[in-house]
Amino acid sequence: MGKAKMSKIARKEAIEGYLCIAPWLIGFTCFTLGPMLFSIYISMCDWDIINAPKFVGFANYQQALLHDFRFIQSLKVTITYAIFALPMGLAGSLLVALLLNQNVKGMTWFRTIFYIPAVLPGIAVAMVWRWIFNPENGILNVFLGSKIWPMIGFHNGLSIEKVALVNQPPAWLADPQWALPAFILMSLWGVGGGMIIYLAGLQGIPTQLYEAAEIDGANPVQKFIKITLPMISPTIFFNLVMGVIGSFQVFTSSFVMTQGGPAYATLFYLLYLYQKAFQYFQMGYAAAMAWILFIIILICTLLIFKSSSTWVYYEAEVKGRK
Amino acid sequence: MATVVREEKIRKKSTSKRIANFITYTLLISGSFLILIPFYWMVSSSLKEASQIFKSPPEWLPTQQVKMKIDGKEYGVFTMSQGEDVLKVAGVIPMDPASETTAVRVMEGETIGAKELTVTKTALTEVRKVSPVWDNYPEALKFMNFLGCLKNTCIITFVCMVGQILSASIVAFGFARMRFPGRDILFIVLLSTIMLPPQVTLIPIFKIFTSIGWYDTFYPLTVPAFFGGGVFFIFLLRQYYMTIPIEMDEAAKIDGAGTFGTFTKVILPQAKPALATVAIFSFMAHWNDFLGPLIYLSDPTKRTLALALWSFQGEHATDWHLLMAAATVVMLPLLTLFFCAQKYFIQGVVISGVKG
Amino acid sequence: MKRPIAILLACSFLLSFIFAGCAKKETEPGVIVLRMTVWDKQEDLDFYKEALKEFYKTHPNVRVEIESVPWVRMFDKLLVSTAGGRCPDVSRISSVWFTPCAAKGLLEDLGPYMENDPTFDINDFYKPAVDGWGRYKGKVYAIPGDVDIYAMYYNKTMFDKYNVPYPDETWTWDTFLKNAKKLSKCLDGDGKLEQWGCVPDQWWQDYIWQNGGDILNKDNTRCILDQPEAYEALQWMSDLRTKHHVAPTAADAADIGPQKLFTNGQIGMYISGSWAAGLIFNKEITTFDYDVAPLPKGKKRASFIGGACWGVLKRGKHKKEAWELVKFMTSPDMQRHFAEQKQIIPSRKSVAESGAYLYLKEKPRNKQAFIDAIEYGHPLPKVECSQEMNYIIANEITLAILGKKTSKECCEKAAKYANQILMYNRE
Repeated sequence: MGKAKMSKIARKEAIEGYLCIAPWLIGFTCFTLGPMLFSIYISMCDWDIINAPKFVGFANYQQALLHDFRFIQSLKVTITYAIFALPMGLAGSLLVALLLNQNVKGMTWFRTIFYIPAVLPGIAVAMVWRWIFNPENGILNVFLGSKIWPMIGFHNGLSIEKVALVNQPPAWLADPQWALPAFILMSLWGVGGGMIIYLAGLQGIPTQLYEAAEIDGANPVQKFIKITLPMISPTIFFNLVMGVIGSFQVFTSSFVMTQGGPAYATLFYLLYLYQKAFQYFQMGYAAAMAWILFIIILICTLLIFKSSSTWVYYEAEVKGRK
Repeated sequence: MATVVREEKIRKKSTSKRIANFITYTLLISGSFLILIPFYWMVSSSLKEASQIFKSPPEWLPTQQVKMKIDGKEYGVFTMSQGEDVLKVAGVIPMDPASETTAVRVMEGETIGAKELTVTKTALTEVRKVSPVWDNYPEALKFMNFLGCLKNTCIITFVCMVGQILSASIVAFGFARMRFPGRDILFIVLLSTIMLPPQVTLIPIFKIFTSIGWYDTFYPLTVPAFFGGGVFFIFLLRQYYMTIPIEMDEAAKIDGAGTFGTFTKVILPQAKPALATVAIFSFMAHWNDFLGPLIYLSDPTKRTLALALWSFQGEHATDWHLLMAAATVVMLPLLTLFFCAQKYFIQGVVISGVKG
Repeated sequence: MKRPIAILLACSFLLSFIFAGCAKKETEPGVIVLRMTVWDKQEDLDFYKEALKEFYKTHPNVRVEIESVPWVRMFDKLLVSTAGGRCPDVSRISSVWFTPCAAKGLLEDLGPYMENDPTFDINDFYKPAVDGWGRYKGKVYAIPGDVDIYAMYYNKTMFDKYNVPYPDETWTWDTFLKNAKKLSKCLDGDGKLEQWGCVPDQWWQDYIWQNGGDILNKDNTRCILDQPEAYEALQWMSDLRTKHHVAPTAADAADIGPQKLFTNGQIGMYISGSWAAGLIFNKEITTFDYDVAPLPKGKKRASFIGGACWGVLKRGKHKKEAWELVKFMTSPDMQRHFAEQKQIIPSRKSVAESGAYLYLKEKPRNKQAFIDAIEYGHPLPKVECSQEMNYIIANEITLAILGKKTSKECCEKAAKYANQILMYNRE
């Protein structure tokens, strides 16, 4: 008698539970699972959206990995960007967070100022930076190349002459060698995004640890390495994973500023995928690229996860009922 | 003895602390300066005349030539050197493009005198004063069809916000509080989709939407928000719900509330900070979305602000003063929102980053 | 308290949004509504609406709805809307992507319509236009509406100032270089040039064609940029900038754009199309006088030719009426209107060589230069993958233009990659 009643209540709860997650279930089937399967099929076809897909097996993958220099180039560009922008970004936001964590006056103002760039629409940011990078009139090259810096020189005796910081500032977005560094520089403007997360993490470190270290005679550097770093390693971990995924999502800036040029110097992975899918309508190829990307990200995240046990230190946290 | 040592230590600490403070402030101020320069550059460029934009070396402040209107004709003020003196003269503008010389009248003080000279154009230097060109803004907005795009962006953003908040809150409730077979497995599936790059499903979804004729409509950009509302938000809300004490649920049940009642009377009110976070991030994501509208919209009247800015750049690629005005205008709503709701932004990042 | 308001707001948004998405127009029974897409801006559509009144007189049961789609999105729109089943009936099509349109089966074969219609004479249209962006694999898929041909705009005032003779049909590329040098000056004493004789690299294809080379071989199966005729031409062109300094560098032109440099009066000779005069130059050139001359002669004469055409979409529902609309848009009267309004060269010989275009008052005065050039007009390669191929080639050539690599190297690479694309697309 008791058992039958339990299962009726349990069944009611189960139905209600499914009802609750129904929106996600429907969405998952229609917008995630179904498309994923469809996408696997498309990636093995030649398809231009208007004519029927033609099955070609692994030809797309072969073409991409072995014969398509633009694919390799897009990988190169994205990975180079990640290698430089990620560590600089992580270190930069950590540094700013550390600075801001010292109970300085006006901290809210500084925090606001640093965080704003992360909030803005990508297209507006891209446009402004394109103007900043203008080789002739942009403020960056004016700063670098204008003869406005006084320097003591020896011309017929001591004299002060005005020199430029850099004699021939780079052409930034117009120069294949400097276009990608320009993007990396631009990414540093957004250090505020990661900074906030670090700040929260830093503020969660119990001060007793620092006091105990002081009593033991630790200097600031030791305190940083032995206490701060380990305690925020989960935050670093989170930012690192998000950063890797993020570098493969760079699109708007390269689309708006350079369209992948000059000479493919800024052909980011997602931009190339977009071109293949929506400019040349080679959907099968683009789908193959998407799956290759998935595998790459999977491998990267697995590696980071695996390595995390050596350098990430978790404190036991209390979670809600399981 | 101990007090002396401690005093010395305190003194040492305060000098080293002062040095540390000084370094910190210097770094912070210079850092803020660097962050703010692009903004300054954007706004100052947006207020310059077209001809001033390409002046080399660029100037910091927007300036315009000092002008006067007399008898219906517009005169521009120049200076020129005559021997050792510098004369202030006024000439009719715009000058005749075909001729190399132009007639100017010598100025006496602030008024135009009677003495006329004919000089070569190259001898004249404009007299400029600091004067922002506010007209750039209406001009840029006119080209951008600003109000129409603002309306479109608002519609898409708000519909998505509502959709995401509604659907994510209830799905998270299911995962956090309800018990049903397969719950934990399904939750792990949900978690793994967070890591799925959107590119993988981009193309099939595009095909689906275009096959049912939704190309060039707002539906592809808004309907998915109602079905699963962003897996990251579901995850965030679920984690947050788990921190709400179960006793409150039970209290509500004792008062006779059903499942839905518990949801609305207990969980939702308690989860306000997390819901605010979802609202803010949803707003940001959809307001700033570029790829979605780029792929699905082609009718110029349906453009969002992001798309409008892009096509504006395409058509006026070299009108930087207008482009910067347009960019400023597009940034303004977000900046205002940020300043008003700063607390929620920061708090939201904290919740998602630290608790995630 | 907050929640009911929020729900109310949400509902009102949802409702407004649903209505916005579902707006349907009521049509009277018996009236056929044709949808036509053009890339003119929304503000300029009145021109079409006025002109269509004539069409309604002879076709009272047809109404035309005009949609404005940006030029860069037009091909996407045609392709995707066809895939989605709701394509327009008639569209303006650019020569740049006409071949992919036809190759992907978007357009209706107009041969049968032309056969059954004795009033329509395809021979009145310039043959290079019909062959260039009307025919695909022998069949006519669209009717050319206008012709863009490229020639040399030059700054008369600058030529007068430095006593340089105006360009004419006797000029060779050597004459061009000689005179460009005379015009390139540093005006403010800082050693950097502010005024240049020319801007060469807008249409690098012209140089190759004039030198006897081409981008693809005769049957469009191989890229022949790696032949000496091609890369020598390109080297000469990039030397204009890096060796002879008669053209601005990429940095000089960055973000101003070569066109603005010309309209600002800083460039002596600017190669551009016949469409530029009406659309841009007559509005933006205020400080100097300009005219047009034929392109200089290389081993042979050649000039880039392109244009727009009107096509019937294959999956449209009212193809017979659509054909009537296309006929109307390319009729002599409409072409006269177009020419007078926008100063573009009509594709009908009879109209172009009459008062409608040739004797228009607006600048440039030497419109004959354009008309003459049509006979040696050379269109872009007509392959389905032309957009992608052009992108690849342009990117490789950038390095040559910037002077970072020799043209020979860049062309060999460009040819290699172009051949890859061609092969990949041939299956």
